[in-house]
Amino acid sequence: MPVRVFPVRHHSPSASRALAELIAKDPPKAILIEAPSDAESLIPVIVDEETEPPVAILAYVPGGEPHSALYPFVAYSPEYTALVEGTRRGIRLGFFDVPSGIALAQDLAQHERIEGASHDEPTTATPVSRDVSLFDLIPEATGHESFDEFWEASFEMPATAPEDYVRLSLEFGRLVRSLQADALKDPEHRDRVRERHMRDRLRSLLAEGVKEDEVLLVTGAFHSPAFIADDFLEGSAGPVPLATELTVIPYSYGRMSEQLGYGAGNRAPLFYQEVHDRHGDFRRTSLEALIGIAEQLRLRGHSASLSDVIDAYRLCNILARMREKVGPGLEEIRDATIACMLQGRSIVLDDVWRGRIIGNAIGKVSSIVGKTSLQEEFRREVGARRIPATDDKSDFWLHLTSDTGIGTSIFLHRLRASKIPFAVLESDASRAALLSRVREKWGTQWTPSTEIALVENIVFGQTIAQVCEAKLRKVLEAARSVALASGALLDIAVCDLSHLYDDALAKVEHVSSEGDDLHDLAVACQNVSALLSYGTSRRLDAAQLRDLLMRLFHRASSSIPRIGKTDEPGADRACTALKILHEVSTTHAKGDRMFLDALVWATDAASLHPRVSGLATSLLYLAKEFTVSELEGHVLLRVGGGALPMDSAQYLAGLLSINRATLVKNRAIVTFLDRLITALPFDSFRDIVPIFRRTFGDLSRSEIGYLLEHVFDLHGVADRRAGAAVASERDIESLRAADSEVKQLTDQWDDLFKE
Amino acid sequence: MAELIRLPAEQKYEQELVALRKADKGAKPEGWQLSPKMVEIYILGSTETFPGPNGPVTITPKYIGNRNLVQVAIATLASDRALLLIGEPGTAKSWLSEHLAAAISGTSQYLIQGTSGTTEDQIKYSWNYALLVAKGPVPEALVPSPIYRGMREGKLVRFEEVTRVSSEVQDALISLLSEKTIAVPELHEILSARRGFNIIATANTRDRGVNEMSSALKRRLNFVTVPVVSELKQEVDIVTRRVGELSRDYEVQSDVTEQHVEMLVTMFQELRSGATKDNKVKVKTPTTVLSTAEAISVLFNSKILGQHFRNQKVTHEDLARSMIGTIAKEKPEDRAVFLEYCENVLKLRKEKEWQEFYKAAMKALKE
Repeated sequence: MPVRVFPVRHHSPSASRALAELIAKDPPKAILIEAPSDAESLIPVIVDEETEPPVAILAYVPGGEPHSALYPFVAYSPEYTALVEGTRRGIRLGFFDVPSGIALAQDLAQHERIEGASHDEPTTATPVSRDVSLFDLIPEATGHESFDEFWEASFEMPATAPEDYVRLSLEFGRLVRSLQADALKDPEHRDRVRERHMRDRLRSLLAEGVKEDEVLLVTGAFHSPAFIADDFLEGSAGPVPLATELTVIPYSYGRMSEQLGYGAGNRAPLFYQEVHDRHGDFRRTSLEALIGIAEQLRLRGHSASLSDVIDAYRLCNILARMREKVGPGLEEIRDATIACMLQGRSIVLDDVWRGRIIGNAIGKVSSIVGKTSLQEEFRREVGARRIPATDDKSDFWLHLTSDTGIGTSIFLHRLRASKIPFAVLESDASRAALLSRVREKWGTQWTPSTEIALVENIVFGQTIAQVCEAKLRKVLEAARSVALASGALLDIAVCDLSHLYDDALAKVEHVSSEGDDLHDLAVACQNVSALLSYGTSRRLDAAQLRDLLMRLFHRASSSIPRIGKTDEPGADRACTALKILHEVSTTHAKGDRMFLDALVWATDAASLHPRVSGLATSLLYLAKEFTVSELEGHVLLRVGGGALPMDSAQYLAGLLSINRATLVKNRAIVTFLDRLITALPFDSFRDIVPIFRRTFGDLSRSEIGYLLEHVFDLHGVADRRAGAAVASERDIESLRAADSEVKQLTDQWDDLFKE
Repeated sequence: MAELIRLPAEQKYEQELVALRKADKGAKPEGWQLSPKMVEIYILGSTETFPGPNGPVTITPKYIGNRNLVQVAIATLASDRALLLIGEPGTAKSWLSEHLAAAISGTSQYLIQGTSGTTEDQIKYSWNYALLVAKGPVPEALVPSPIYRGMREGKLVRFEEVTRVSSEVQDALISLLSEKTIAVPELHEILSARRGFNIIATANTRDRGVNEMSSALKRRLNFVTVPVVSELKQEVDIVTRRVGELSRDYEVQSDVTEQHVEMLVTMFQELRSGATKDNKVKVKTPTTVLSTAEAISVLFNSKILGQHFRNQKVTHEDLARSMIGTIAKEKPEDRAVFLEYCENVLKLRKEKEWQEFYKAAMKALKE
């Protein structure tokens, strides 16, 4: 008599139900389950009372590049049911799939074949995609929207006897296997390698004296026919296994729903959990899901009444009948919700769907599994500091006015710098601004990736501080630009790793002497300047920092004459750099001759992008190096005479990109700008209008007020009302037409720039 | 050629409906002429043939698009709620509504066209005043509205552009939809709707009004959004079929190639979505809604021109002129949008047909 096989689909309530019934009816002596054979020692952890699914076996390669695989279980995974039922009845349990080291080696080989594949994300070692076309072929042939809908309608909904379930599932497995016949000819095919291991494991169990009919195999529907017919294609032993370590970590419904494809995930973990809890009653579960969705919609300000729920439920049932289903499922719930509660709009539903159908439950792992010190520290700190740690993103403000706030900030910064995916600093300001804040906005979200990173990073240290230090040391070592090195210096400050300062300062010094990129040097100046201004509380040697800053500042100043001819993005970078250096000079290097001389050079250099020259002129006026008449002289030199209109416009855009309030308030400056613009020939004016539009379009209301006041005065218009009168005399309609033409021109320019 | 310009769906597709009724073994909701499954087959078409009185009948697709959408629409009509089809102009809402009514009730003729002038009398009943004066309020003096007749006979009633009618009239609909009765106090009678009665309303999202409907009325309607077709092959298929049908009805025989249709639909989709199909070039979108119905109209107009003035050939010039007319329908300035599209997109397409169309379009734009 051949072995008994139960063909499963992973995370299937009906498979789980049927399996439990079969075990109860005729308990086997031993159950072998499709999971990595080297993870057998974790079975007591998975079935422990303290463990609450969703959980996952994590297999990872310690040290080196992160590389891991996950084997998730929910409460209704048949594999989990086999473990729980088997333990309860004292049945011998074992895992019989390839060891995780081989699975990971196979993954690695597959990833290497796929160009540009990232190894950062853990793979799901369940058979993710047998053949993409299968998922298209089946729904197409059966008239379903997706493979998942087909499965739900054909396998989850009908109340079949366990024996019938096995028969149907086997038929399905045979169909899938036949579609894969060509691919399976390769002896290195991962399924052939896996089946060889499974068969060997089964044989060794039989060799121990267990009879064939006393064994129950719980394996994927795809593999089952091979065991039933004892018809295996002899595969290779697989690649050389990687050395792995294994543990059990909490998993989440959110991640589960992202792993789609055959068997790998589950599109609605919470919904199917409820189906499981109600022994496959889809009608009742759908009704309660609709009630829950209506409740969530009301919480979000939509009107969704009980009467809507009743109508939606009726519609669900009619749709299910039309679609020849036993009862309403996910497609019917979605369609009915959109039609009856959301006025035909589906966008709002996504958010509610996540909460009520996908769910946000996070599993719990028994304390009998040894946790790494990083996991322990993470739990302890998150709990003590009351940091939100759910699988839904939470945003909160952290006030840095107390020791607790500062401590939490340091903890979160250390996680961020360690690249442990949990906390994100919600800020678009420069990194230098980190130090000047009295409060920080953080977004936190726990995901299985957080747990994986905590497990994997143990190789870098026993505490989060040690991991952070090791990671920042790596960043410092790898930094080839002064901006990156000084960025690491800032991270060292916010992570409170003061003993790294000396190394970091030396690195900044070293890298700065090798590079002459103006922008990089300016960013480094900004970072060091921030440390100097706000870092006194972080036990820094101010004199040492000041010396470093001045050296960086002078290197940056000496780089200005080397800017050379640049394109638009190059001009943007140069302008940003000059603005940063100007800011730094006002706080730490006021009147620095080297910087000012470099700006004078930039003002007159014909080889420079005119916008950079315009900005340099403006900065010199701001630094009181130029009087108004000198400013006028420089401007006329650049925009008068034979200068190209486009260059003139760019120059003025640079001039007015900073300190605009002062410039537009100054009558003399407005006078010569007005003279200059009114003297332009019409054709030239038309060409540069888009640039002017952008330049003057940035002016604030008050700045426009000052500018107009001067312009009206210059043109002899007494007040604004008189101005309006002038406008109406000149035919408002034609002005509107002109404005529309200008708008079109500007839009065209915008499109060109975007392209 | 048929003498009538346009036959209602139940007459035009009578053969199909008869064949489906004959083959229908499914359970029919009371008052329905077909089971929901057969209605779905009638709307979406089938590759299977059905025996008809004059031989096998192929069921042609009336609506090409999402199956779920059609199923929800049909299922709604079998429920307590009325159906509201909403979407951009030209997305075949009225077309779908007509065919649903024809398949379910056997008639699509109970129709109210909603306007700002629609009165409560028009949705309930009015009187033949000569008879009223002569005989007083007697049943034969009552002029029933389409809704009144639909209720009396258990048929579907179509209410086009429901959001264009005043809120008072919309409010009157609420009681009709919830109570399913019309009270006629003059005759001391209450008309209760027979099973099979329901309303299929349509509304344009471009019109103001959908959001101004009272929540009480919204609660009595199931909303089904009819989307603009975004898949090239699907829209080419729709345009080809509809233009083919129109050509047969009007006996227009000028040639139109598959390439013509594909080019036209490509341009419509690109101008509608604001980007080229390969998503590499951004395109400005005109104010006018460039719906599938507009594409059908552009192509059919060009065919008529070809038939009568161009030796039965559809030319790029006619297509371009017709397209410009559609694009600049609402705002003449949108000609510039098409000009820019020609310069930035069409000019760069190297294929001969595209180059010819580009030249024709530039010529037409200068006219």
